[in-house]
Amino acid sequence: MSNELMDSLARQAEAGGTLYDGRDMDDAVVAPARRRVRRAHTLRAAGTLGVTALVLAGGLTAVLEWQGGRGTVAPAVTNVPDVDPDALTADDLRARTTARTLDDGRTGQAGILCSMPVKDNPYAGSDFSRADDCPAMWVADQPLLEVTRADLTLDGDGTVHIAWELANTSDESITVDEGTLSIALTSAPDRVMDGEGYTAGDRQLIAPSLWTSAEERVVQMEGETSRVTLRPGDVLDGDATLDPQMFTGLGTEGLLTGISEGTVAPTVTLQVRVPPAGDPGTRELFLEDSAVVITTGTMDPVSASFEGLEPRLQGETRDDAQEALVCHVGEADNPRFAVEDGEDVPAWSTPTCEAVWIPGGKQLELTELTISQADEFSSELYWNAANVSGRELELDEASMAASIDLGDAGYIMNSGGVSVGWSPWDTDRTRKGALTSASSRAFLPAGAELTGSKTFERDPETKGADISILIRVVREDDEDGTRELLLELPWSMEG
Amino acid sequence: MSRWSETLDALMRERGRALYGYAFVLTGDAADADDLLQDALVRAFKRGRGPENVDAAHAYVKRAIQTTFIDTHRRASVRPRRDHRDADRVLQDPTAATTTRDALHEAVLALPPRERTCIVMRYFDGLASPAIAEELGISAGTVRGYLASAVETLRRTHGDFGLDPTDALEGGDEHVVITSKGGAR
Repeated sequence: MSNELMDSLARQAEAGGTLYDGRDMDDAVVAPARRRVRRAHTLRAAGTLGVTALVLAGGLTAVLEWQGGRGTVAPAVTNVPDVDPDALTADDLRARTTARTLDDGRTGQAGILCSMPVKDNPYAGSDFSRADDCPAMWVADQPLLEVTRADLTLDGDGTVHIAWELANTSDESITVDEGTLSIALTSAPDRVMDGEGYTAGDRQLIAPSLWTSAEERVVQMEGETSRVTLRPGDVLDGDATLDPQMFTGLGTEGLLTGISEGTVAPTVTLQVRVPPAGDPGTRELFLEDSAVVITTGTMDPVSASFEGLEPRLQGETRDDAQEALVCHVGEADNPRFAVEDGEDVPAWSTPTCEAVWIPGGKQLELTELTISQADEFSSELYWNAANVSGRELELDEASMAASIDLGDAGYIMNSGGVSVGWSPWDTDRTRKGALTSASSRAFLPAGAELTGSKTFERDPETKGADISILIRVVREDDEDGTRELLLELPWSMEG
Repeated sequence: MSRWSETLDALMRERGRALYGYAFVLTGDAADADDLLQDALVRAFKRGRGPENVDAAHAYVKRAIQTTFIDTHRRASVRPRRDHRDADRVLQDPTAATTTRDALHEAVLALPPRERTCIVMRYFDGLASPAIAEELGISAGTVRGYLASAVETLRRTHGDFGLDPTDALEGGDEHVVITSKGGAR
């Protein structure tokens, strides 16, 4: 027997239990979990992983909910003044508001006023965050809060850093909710969105514009409430980092390249909630201001391996080209470049990637794919692929991953290079890829075959699933981890 | 309130202490246990309509704690370090029971996540290697490999404190037991 070890583990469990008894676990664990579950249910109800659709007056705008990558952080406020109970609140400011439209030509303090049932108000205890489009307002004839700094730095790998300052330029103290301040990067801020949609999450948003109609604008309602007072002259400042994957989402087309090439001068908009004097109710007021950013830095040249690729749509088929994915993750979010921790177990990530065609015919095709029961809980996916390119391919055998698309099923499993459940497609042009820290370069001669297998949690629905196998292409500049090129090998279990 | 939300409330009310304790055994850190339990709850409840009742939820969440802990092992704060120390430099007085238990748990926390999870399932849950294998979705042989490696590390770092390698690999229950209200597992 091993009584000491059993005693030791039991004592540790009891120590954990004592910690549990002495803390408010709702704040630390249960409430955030509930929010995430609700969000997952909401997203699943919309049909496709990570994508929700907002039905708007006069049209449909798609929204890509950013799931958050390792390199993505919400705007971090680095200078926070304290609270003054006599400062202006939403109750004071709402009385001054008048309707604002895109082309009304007025100036002053811009705002957004959202109305919702209390049960849906994220600041009134509703445990899900939201991005919504709400009526635009003028809150004052003169600016109250102004963006006094908006500097954008572009790293070589496509990571965007924004340093900002928001100053109270009025002569009145204002209470703001700095914990829910959000930042938006737009490429055409003075027009109504034209169905492009936007990519949002973690209090960050990228879009062509925040105008969803001439009268309404998008505002994010996320974060943990934290009231502060901005006295006249006070400044909030902070930083935000947008990783390259975020620029793969809806409403981001051409923005990163445009910033790098200097052809797009993006605008930063800061939106900050003004809390009411009392408890949150059915209306929420946000103040906003924008500034064209000062940009420095350019992206590194793109490897030749990524030239000549053509956009691919979900469901599109071609015999003259190979299905592939371009995952622009930036080296910091590429597991292949993660610091080795001395363990043998590979790490995996599932970034959003751009679906592309590699012209010139098929390169690698599945010739066999089977699912067999491994034990009571698990199944084994086995595949065989052949090099049909007519030339030698250099591939990364350790990178092989599998996606089993069960449609609107939630995630049954999403680890170790196996995704079982939700469709990997985020939009009709982007889908989840799979990157790993493991690498095993191998030359596959023309006509040669490659096999692989993965074990996953058993689910009877897999019998009719669409399955895809992914494998990374080894490039001449493989030491550059900014982007990865994955071959996608589709297979339908329905035949 | 939706059914899954009610089940979640009931689970945390009746079994939250035990589940948190389990997460704490694996991580050894309150913040990491918070994260682990939160992730496990999300995994268990975002699928379909969620577990049917508290017992099912308990089983789901506990299993999710185990698999999530393994999946997220690269989280910096729970990153393991291979323990290359020798027994005579670690434990000067093996008769000091409290010291032994504390040092043992430190050694358990230094094990790689898969080995650590298997040791906890073997010596906290009392499961045999085939039952551990079923829970984790890996082969019994792989589990025995993890247990053997873990036991070897623990014996090397802490000497002979009664840990029997044969018992580690061959002993334990064949079935998972989820105890009812107030249960420690």
